[in-house]
Amino acid sequence: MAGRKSERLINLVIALLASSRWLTRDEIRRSVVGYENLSDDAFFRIFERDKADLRSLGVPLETGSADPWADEDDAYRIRRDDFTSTALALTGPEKTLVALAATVWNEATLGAVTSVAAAKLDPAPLAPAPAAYALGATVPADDPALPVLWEGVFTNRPVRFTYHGRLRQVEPWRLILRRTVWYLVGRDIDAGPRLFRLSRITDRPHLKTRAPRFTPPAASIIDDCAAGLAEPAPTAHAQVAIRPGAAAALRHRGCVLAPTESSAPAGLEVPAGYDLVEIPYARVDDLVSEICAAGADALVLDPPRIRHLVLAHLRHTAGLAEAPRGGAADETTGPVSGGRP
Amino acid sequence: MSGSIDQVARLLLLIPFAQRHPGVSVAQTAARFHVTEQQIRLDLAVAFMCGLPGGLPGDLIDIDMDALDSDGLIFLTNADVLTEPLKVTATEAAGLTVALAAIREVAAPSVAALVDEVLAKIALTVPGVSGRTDVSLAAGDPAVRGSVAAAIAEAARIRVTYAGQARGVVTTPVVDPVRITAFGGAAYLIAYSLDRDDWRTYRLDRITAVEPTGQASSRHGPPPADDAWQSSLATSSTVTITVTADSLWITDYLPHRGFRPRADGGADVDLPVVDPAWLDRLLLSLGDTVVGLIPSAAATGAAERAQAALAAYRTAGLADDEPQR
Repeated sequence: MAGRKSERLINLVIALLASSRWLTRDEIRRSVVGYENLSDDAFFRIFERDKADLRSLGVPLETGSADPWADEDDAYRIRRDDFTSTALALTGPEKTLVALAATVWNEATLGAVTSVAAAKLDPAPLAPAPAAYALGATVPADDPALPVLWEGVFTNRPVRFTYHGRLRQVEPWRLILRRTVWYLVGRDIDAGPRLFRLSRITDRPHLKTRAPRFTPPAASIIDDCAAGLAEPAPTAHAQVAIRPGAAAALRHRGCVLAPTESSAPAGLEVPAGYDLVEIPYARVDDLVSEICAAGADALVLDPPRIRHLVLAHLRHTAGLAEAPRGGAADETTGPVSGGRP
Repeated sequence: MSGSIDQVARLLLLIPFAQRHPGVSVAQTAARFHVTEQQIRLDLAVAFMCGLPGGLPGDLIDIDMDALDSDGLIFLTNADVLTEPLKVTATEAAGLTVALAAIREVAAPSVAALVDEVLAKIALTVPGVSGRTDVSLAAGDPAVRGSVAAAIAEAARIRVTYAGQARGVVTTPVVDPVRITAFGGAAYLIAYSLDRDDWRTYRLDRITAVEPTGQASSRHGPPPADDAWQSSLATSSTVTITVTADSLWITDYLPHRGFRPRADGGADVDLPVVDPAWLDRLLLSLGDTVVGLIPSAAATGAAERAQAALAAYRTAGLADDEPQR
């Protein structure tokens, strides 16, 4: 029964907290209510599981020995210093934020640990008013790999998972959320530091609880591994003709040029009914996608390479409705002539 | 047995908590620990049976059962070794730091500064958390968030300049803003649109300007739930698009009903489609990485828009050069 087990675990915690010295396994078996009337085997099995359960709750249960010359570590203690409050001195508004943060996870595992953290760090709130800031957030956490990797990162223990068809041993350093996508930065024992996308992990990661804890590197080293995720700074400009009031996001990023002859690229005229907008860009593919999405509302004038790419994509899409029925089809290139390699 | 683990975790907090708040009500305590009042009573019944080794009456935790049964109030004593809650672990604290970081992403700058204070306190108190996570959401311009949050706080009606995505058109609706929230990786303003006379959700990173109207906002009853859009997805139709490996990223970024990888590295992706204009834009933006569609008629809108664009290029004299290799 759950109640009996809870009683036994609480009694064990109280007994260890109340004792100023190591308690041996035998002393625990004799004195703690709940371990009486058990066979040796049953006691040993139940006590092992109880220790593991308490540790999983963050109870700092130490194993050692009262006798410095003993061969075996068969005594236990909980230092009251370890158990005492880590409560933060929070101001009223900060308490409200912590209460609000405890609502962010809609995933069961991380939601529960976050509620526990909020309760431990702020043991005296009693003001459940997260509406105060008119703010809310939900963190996408439904990736099945996340809880195990989380445990690995915050206990500094290695994990094992399959990625790109290979089983890897990884020291997990940092979890990164970019909008909806989780990444892990870590050291692949065989291949060195690298970035993993959680959605590309093809099995359920395994936490190596018996492996020694690793020491994570300096933050700057982790930052370097994550640098590939940063948005690159724009390195070039495109001249795009945009209809007034249309392609709003694209227009907002750019700078509308005065309608003078000199502003159009050499040999090209700004079409009637369009403004000329100069748009900074970093990645050609992203800009091409964005311009294609705007259809006739945004026409590229310059550079010609971007215009060719946009025209090729548009020719492909223009023929899409007549394409052979997709999905099951085996072709990997579109049926439309666009001249793209 | 996870029930008893949860119960023990709660009791290790509840026993110190009840001692710090003599006479706290069962209802308040249940709300505090996010469980039912019945569960709190079960927890207290367990605590009542616990105590120092020996199990004599003076060794056990004492709970005033009269006050509990008749008034619903908790008086818990004789648990001197359990007056402090458990030390928080890095695993737990990190749940809070990521949650706070997500709130920081959507908050106005003043609230973001407060979040930083709390994060700094956690970093000082709990080793092994700082620098181990990094959260960023599409939340737009901090100045816009600040203006919107100020308007919410002051109950002020505002006019927003909104670069709507599906149709690429700028609108300037007058709205009564009520809440900022983040889901699906982006931040949104939930506001009552006076123009539409209904609740609307605006992506914060597409609001380019916020102007005061000088008017106060009105009350419109409770706004829809933050995830109401998901129910509109649930009833929408499905379009299956076949993409090459270059566009496999859509399986991470777009809501989908499943996808099947293909031998060439691409995939068949089942997309819920609420607004056909959204699909048109998506197909146009994916260009030649879309190699098939079921039903193929779903591509009609995008194909027509592509043809119109090609015609506009021809009219402007911009379409006559063939690609160079």
